[in-house]
Amino acid sequence: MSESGDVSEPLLDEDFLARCSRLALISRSVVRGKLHGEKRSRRRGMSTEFADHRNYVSGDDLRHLDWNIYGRLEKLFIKLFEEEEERNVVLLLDASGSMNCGEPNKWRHARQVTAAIGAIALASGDRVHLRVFDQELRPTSGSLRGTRSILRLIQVLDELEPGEQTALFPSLRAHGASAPPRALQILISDLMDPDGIDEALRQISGSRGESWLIHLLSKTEQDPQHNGDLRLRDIEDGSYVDVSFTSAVFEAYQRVLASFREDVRKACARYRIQPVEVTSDIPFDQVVLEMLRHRRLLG
Amino acid sequence: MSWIAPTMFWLLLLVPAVLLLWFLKIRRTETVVASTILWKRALQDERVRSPFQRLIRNLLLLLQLLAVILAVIALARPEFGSMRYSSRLNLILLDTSASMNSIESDGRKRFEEARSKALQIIDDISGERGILIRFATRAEALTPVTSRMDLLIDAVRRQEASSGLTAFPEALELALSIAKQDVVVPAAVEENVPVDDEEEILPPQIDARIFIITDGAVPRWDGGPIPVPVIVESVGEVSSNSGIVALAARREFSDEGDLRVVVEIRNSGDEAISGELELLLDGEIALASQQRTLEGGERWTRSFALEGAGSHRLEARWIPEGGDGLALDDRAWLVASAPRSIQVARVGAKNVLLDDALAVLPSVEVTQIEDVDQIDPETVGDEFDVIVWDRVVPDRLPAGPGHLVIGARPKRFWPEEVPVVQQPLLVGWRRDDPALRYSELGPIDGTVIEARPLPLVPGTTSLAECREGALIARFSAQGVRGIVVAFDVLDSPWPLTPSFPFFIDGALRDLARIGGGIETGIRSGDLIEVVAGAGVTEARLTSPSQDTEIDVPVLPGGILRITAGDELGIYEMKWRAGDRGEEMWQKRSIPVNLLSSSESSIEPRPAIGLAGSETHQRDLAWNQTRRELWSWFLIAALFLMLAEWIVFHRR
Repeated sequence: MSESGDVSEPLLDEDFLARCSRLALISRSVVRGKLHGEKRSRRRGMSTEFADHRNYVSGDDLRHLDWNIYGRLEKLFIKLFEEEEERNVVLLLDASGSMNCGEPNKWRHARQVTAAIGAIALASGDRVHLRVFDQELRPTSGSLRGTRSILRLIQVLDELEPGEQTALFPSLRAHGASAPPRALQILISDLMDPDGIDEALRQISGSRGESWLIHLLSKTEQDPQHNGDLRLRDIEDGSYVDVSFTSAVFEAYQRVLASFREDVRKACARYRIQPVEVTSDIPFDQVVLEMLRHRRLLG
Repeated sequence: MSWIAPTMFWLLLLVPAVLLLWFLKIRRTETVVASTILWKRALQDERVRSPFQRLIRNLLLLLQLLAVILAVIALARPEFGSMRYSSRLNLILLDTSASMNSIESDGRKRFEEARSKALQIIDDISGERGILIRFATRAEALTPVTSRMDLLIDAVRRQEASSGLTAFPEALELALSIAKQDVVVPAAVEENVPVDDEEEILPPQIDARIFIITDGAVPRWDGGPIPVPVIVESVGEVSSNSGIVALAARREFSDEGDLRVVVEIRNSGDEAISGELELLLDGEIALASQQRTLEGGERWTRSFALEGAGSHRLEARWIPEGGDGLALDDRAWLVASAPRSIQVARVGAKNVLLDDALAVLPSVEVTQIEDVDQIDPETVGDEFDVIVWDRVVPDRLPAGPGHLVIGARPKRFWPEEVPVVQQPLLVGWRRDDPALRYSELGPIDGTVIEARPLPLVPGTTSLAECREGALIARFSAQGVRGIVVAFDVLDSPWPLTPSFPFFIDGALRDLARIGGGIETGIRSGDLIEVVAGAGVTEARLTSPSQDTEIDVPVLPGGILRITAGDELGIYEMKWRAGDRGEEMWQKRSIPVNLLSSSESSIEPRPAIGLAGSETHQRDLAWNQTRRELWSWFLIAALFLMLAEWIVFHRR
């Protein structure tokens, strides 16, 4: 397992990329793409795999009449076949200031996870859409397809700079307006938004496809090691809070953190989103190869 | 509650200092975090769940402030107890003897430290009663028993160290007599309360204590147990000192009457001291100074022979290199004067041998009186120093002059007839008596034809005795004093030997109270007594520095008596008989010296001998009686600091 690594190193190494070629993201629902792809589609189409029958209506292709049934029942039925389409995978990467914080740094870790999932998707023939946001959705640069786009994806992620404030809801709402239908949406974020997460997560509801949430926190957010009397300043809006670190304060923080995570889990359940809780001290390949596989999101 | 060191309350200024440090301490270090959302919620949650957390944070400040305040209170030495405001009597005994003149290492007199401690004690006993007693040559109460501390303070401030010895037992006796007069009778049992049969009725209690401020150079107390607490306040540090502890002279038996002077110097400290000894005769250096190094505890006795038979003032000076602890004992004086004539009345029948003896004596003027009736008892004392009664004596001897009775019996002392003894054998005689110092009484041993040996009765002492009684005796009672020879000298060969005139000379000088012309002096505070003779109406005493001259009362018989002052040196007593028209003053010099090994030994002694009575160093006894509370406050402050530490780390 590799660590998040030095910032000067590439986000993904060659060993990991070689392993990606044998993996694929597992959708629990059928997705739809523009091209005939490798994934099943709810649209009945041109493939050879039989799906169902329906009554013949005027205008149907007579080549698809099931003559065997007509011989037995003297009724006209059209044979329907599964149509294989390509799958759209949308990677929603939170690039707000809060992601560029913590120890180990969440920003590099988030980009590594994003790159790894994107590489797996590209290697398995999916069309990958990278959407980056902070206080708004950044301009999109088109989708990627094919294994040749993996390096392009890594390069784009490598060159990304973190922004300032977080605005989850407007960003994801803007994404929703232009999102490809029935896509697999994967949100990588710490969800540190002062306006809350409920409305934001509703924008990537799994009811229109499938959605995952990689909820990333740093080790220091998970288990703060502060001591004494400190002034904690928010990296995004500059606001501060004075804290005298006592055992009671630590206990209260752990309670609030647990409550926050519970809220995230409830919202994910409400909007049919698969949550994956990750901390930045867990190496990204362990996150992808073990945690996603353990949750049967990777096969 | 009262405070021993209230000035320590200035340290309460530490309270604002603690507050300042507290506010400086909570200037927080800034740390950047991804988001403060969770922390704000956590603080809200903590405040909801632990509303006392803010109080606990302030509790730390509160504990710190309380600890500081309690520590300051402890430093201010609070005390509590009913004793302070009781009527307890505090007897403060202040040592003003010569050793208190010692110069300490800080250049101050030892007595100044004693005075400071006395003032401190007076401050401490505020609210109680006190009396100040000083002791040097004598002990005297300087104040009445009073609760007015200002009287005690004024008395202490007026005191200086004297040049006298240490009358410590006398001071302690005085203190105890005052304390015993100050008994407290326990309160009577209330009438309604039944008295337990076994309950002991308490004797009267002495509610007093004695403070002794001294360097410890005091005589041992052998007066028995002391019924009140004794608190010894020891003063002084320096112990190195050397000084003259003896100076004496006598005239040589030579025609010139040269003087033989003996000086003794003692190093009472532990370290060797070098110095020079000088002898001055009438202010001029008589002999070249002699250098000597005295080891610790060493005594050095030096003898000098000086020429000159007249009157001289002699001064011995010991000059230690770099000085020493006590300067008073580095000088001593004596006066060698030509003895004045003794006025003698010889009463009785003609006695050739006695008259010859009187005639050969120098400085004796004899008046022959045949008849006893010619003696006027009222005036004889003014005219004569000694009356020699030869085989005749009146029933009532006049007071004033001395009496030498030969061959007769003073009936006032021996009213009964005394049997005659033939040729009594001499058993012994007092060779150290001034009358017999130069006499050999062998010529009267078994050679007196008949004598009437006198039995010893109250007021008499034997000078030479046989088995049957005294052959020569002294008598003294109610101003009448003399020497009696219990046989007629004509019945013995004694007048034919040199022993007889020596006896007559010694007896006359002793009875006339005139020595050999050598005044070895008295000590500071002792009585100066001069027998000036009859008719003296005016007398004055001049101090050695001639700064003061005081009138001296004249007692009957022309006796001049006054206490020597604190100044050491040679005092001058002068007198004249104004009624007789005398214009010229007659003078006599009296040296006043320290000459005391105990005072020269200035090493402080923390404990003094009180014959089994328990003494306390002041601090111990003080703590026990005054119930100081500082330790409790200090413990409370420490507990608060511990609690603050625990609370801080439990956060």
